[in-house]
Formats: sequence, structure tokens, C-alpha cells
Amino acid sequence: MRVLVVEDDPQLSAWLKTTLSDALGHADVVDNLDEALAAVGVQPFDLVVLDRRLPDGDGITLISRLAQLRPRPGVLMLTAFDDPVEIARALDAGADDYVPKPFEPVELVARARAVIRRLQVDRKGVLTVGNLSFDTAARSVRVANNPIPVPRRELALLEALVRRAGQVALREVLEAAAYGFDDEIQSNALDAHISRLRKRLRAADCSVAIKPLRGLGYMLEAG
Amino acid sequence: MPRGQPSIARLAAALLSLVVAATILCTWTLVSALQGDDGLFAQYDVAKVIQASISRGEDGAPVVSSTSELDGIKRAFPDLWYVVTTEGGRVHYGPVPASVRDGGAAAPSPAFDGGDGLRLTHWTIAARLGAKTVQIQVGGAVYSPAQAALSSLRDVNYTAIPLLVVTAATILVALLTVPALIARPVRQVSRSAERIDGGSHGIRLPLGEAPRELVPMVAAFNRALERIDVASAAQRRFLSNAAHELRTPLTRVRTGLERVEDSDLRRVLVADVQSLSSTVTMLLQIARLSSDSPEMRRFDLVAAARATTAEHVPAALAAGVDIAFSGEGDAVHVTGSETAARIAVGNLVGNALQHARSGRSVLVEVRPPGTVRVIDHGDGVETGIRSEVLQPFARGRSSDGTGLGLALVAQVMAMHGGGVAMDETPGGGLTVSLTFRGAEA
Repeated sequence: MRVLVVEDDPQLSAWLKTTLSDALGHADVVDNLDEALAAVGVQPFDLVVLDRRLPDGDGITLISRLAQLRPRPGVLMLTAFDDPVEIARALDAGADDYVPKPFEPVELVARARAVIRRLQVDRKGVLTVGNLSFDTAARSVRVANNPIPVPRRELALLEALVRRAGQVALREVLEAAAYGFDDEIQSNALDAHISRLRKRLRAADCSVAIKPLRGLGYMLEAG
Repeated sequence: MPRGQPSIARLAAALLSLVVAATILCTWTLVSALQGDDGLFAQYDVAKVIQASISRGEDGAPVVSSTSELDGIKRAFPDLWYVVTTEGGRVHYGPVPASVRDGGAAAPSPAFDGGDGLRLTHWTIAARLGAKTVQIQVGGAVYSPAQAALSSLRDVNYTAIPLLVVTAATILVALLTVPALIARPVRQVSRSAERIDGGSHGIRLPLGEAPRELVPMVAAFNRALERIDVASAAQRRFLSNAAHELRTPLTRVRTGLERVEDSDLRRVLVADVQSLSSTVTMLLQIARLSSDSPEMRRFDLVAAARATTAEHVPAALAAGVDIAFSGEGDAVHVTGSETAARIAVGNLVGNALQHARSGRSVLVEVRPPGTVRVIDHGDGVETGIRSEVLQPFARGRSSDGTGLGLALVAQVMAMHGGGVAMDETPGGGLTVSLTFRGAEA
């Protein structure tokens, strides 16, 4: 795993280098956009940790260049702006996630890991939460490496849940994932399908839990 | 348009109708004066005055009483004569022509005063006197042009009422149409102005559509808008610089703390940095809300509050607090800034999670026409200090927050013309209600 840190504050970049090297693998540090472009030109990176305000411009301008690289590195923006408009701009530009400054060190590392994991899923097509793996290409589910059969609708629901693991999957999002336009959705159909899915996972000794949230939807928690 | 405000259009209409009315009156007077009197007006008027003065004497003969009006007429027309005949007799006055006295046609009067050379020698009118008929013959009176004009205006049936009707109709039409005509371009300009809201910048009133009289005002308004844009851009730059200058050193301190070996000390210092960070965040949010009035538009309060609640679920579950949402069935549309509303609801949910006892629940509820309630089962806030905690840097007794969250909520609600209410949750805890104005249809 190779990480590029683009940060002009020497103290912070030194800390990022040490912390990310320890947590993820080798980390290189540059302090401006030009050097960052030069670095990604000679060496593929899995993750670029990118500051917004750099001496030669806004970090956002680098994102489109990074998106053209193959393999594409994940982009985690560090920003002192908390203006929602600025955050939206960064995400719209193609950043995979943003971490507002000041950040909690553990949160930064966790988010960096999550970005890398999502990118790897995109490459291999397997989503993993706890001992559950969901192969999006083969549309199969394994718990602790043992395949378990899941019917079509429950599979669609599980995929939507796994993709949002640790976050709320709102009812309407799940319904949109599992039912077509022509399906007549009974008001409790979703709950019935989720209930069967939970039984199935429990029977297979799955470590993840599907937590119901009244008025909101469901959330997949790694056990 | 608010009542009681002076209206240029109404004033213009009133002035216009006065001018029209004066023109009609003047024209009529002038026409009457120029037309002059061929004896018709004067002798008719005199006959009416005589009729009003007639009574019956004891012998049945008519008596013409002397009235001041009749005396005035006699003085004004030296040649005036009249004969009043009833069944009981007749009375006469002045140089009655022999022909009339004898019952024939009147001899031509000697006085001609131009005109078309025609002259009415005398009038004979019949009137009622009690049950009897009375015949009044009048001659020898003719109006001067000025008298003719005045007399025609005094004539209620033939002149005054039609003139009054025409004038009133003109004034009415002017009052109804002129304000609308004058106000139309003004309304066009104000419609353009309505499209300007606090959030969108660079918008100007179109100078091209404005009537010439409004151009100086529209131009001045546009210059003011420009100054506001410049000031608000400077304010945004300042806030973004402030954010950067405050957060970068905080980040350095926070990451530096990882090297502190004494774990107790580190925990205390980290908590301080976190509290300082959230103070900075909220101060910046408050500053941004005060400086940059956000775009007000229709949005679904249910969707906004629900999404904000969903964002807080991971934190809630980590803290062992159950969180739920109620009112997800139907959309509740309100007018306001969705971003600001989410900040307000997020702050309330954050507060509720902080104060909720482990194992208890936090409920976020949206009700039409525009109320969000965040209900916790924590320690609550004493009645006495409820309005106090809405002030910046005021904290409840058990709070370890920044003291800014509720101030921020209060500011957001003030911005929306809405309200914040705090009540005790049945069974203990705090219920905070935010009331937004309903969406205008």
C-alpha cells in the first residue's frame, strides 16, 4: 500500500507521514500541487491525502488529474473549510471522502482505510463486512468463507446494506434496491424480507447484525 | 400595497380627474356664454320665480307676493313684464304689450342684441295652483352672456345633473385606470426585485425594463446591491481565512498530542482540543449565518430532518442510545434554508445524544405544518434557565458542550422567522421544538 500526502504544513505532513506509514504502508510527502503531479507520474499510489489550501492552488484542481490515472488512487481531502458548499464541491469534483480539520487521528486512519477498501471492492467486486463477503460480480454471499444461498430480493437488500455498512440505509433506498417499478410493495414487505435475511445470516453464524431503526430504515453493523 | 402609504398613481389620477372636471365645466360655461340668451332662459327662469310667489287672494284673483328674488329680477330687467291669469282674475306687472293684454300675439320688443336676429318675445307657461290652473306670461327679460352661463349651471335638470354625471364618470374611470397604468412598469421592476434573495449574488434589477422616472432609483438600488456583494465576498473570504488559520494550528496541536506519553494528561488535553474545535466550528457557522443570508426556498422538512437523524445514528449506537424518527409518512414543506435547518436539527440531535442516558432513546419527530421536535430522556433543563441557554456561551448545569449549539439553533430559527421552544419530556428529559413557517403555496 502506497500513500501520497500533499500537505504544506511541515509539522502536520511529518505526522501524517509517520501515522499513515504505520497504519497503511509506505507514505510519501510533497508540499505542493506540481510536486504531487510529478510524484503520481512516476509511481502508482493507492491513496492520495490531499489538502485544500496549497501554495500553488486549491487541492480540488488536482482531483481531475488523479481520476485519469490507472489504477485510480483514492482521494481523501483534508480541509479546514466546513462550509457545506465547499464540502459538496470537493465531493462533486471526485474526492472519495473528506476529513475536516482538526481531525481525530483514529478517524483519519479509519476513513483512509475505508476509501482504500471501497476502491479495492470496485476493482475485485467483493464487499467485506465482518465475516460476511458479498461478491457483486458473481452475486454470491459467503459467511466465514462458506457460501450461503440467498434469494434474489434478499440478495439485493443485502447488497444495499453492505454497501452502506455502518451507515443508515433509509427504507426508500432499500425498497428502490429490491423492488422494481412494477412491483406492488406491501407496506411490510421490506420488513418481512429483512426479517428472513436476518434469520438466514444468524443461522450461518454471521458476525454482522441488521439493526432496525424506527422511522429511518436499517443499518448493517459489523459485529 | 399597504394602506395609508401615499400613492403617486392615485395622486396622478386625482389631479387628472380634477383637470378633466374643470375642463368640462369651463367648456360648458363658455359655450353657454357664447350662445347667449334669446330670451328663452331668462323668461323661463322668471316664470319659475313668479310661480313660486303666487298665492290666491280672497276674491280668487291671483296675488304675486313680493320676494327678494323677484325684486332682484325686477331690478335686473327694467323692461320685464308679466301677466298671471287664473279663473278668478289676472294680475300684471310692467309694460305689458297691448296685444297680450288683449289676448293676441305680443308686439315685437324693441331691444335686439345681436345673435341670429331671432328673439323670443315672451313665454307662456301653465302651472298648478292648488286645484286650479294658472297661466303665467313673461316678457321683456333677456340674459347677458354671463347671466346665461350662470343660469345654465343653476339648471338642475338639464345641465347640472348631466354635467355632474359626466364629471363623476370621468373621475371614476381615471381613478380606476390611471393607477393601474402607472403602476404596471413599477410592478415589473418590483417583480424583478422579488427574484433577488439573500443567497444569490450578482443579480441586478434590469435597467432596460424600468420606466424613465424609475431609472435613477433602479440604478441606485443596483449600486447598493453591488456594494453588498463586495462586502459579502469579503466576509466570506475572511471567514474562510479565519477557518484555515484557526483549524490548521488546532490540527497541529491535536496530532502533536499523540506524542504525549502520560495517557491521563493526553486524554484531558485531547478533550480540550476537541471542545475548542467544536467552538471554532460553531463560531464560524454562526458568523456565516449572520453574514451570508442563505437562499430561502421550499424544502421538505421531513426529508431534511430524517437525513440529519440518519447521519447521527452511528454516533448514537456507539453511545448506546436508541434513536428513532417519527412522521416519515408525508412530506412537510416549509420555506427556508435547508442547510441551516439541517445544522439546527443536527445540533439538537447532538445535544440530545450527549444528554441522553445510556439505554434510553432519542426521538426526532416532524409534524405538519412545520415543527421538528427532538425529544430526549436526559436530565432536562430547569425551567428558569431555558431562555438563558439559547444565549451564546450559556451552558446548562450538566453540559460539557461549547455553549454555542443552542445559540446557533436560536439564530437559525430567528433567521426563518420561526421559534424555539423547550419543554419537559413526560417522564423526564428535554423536548426542543423548532417551528418553521409553512410553505407558501
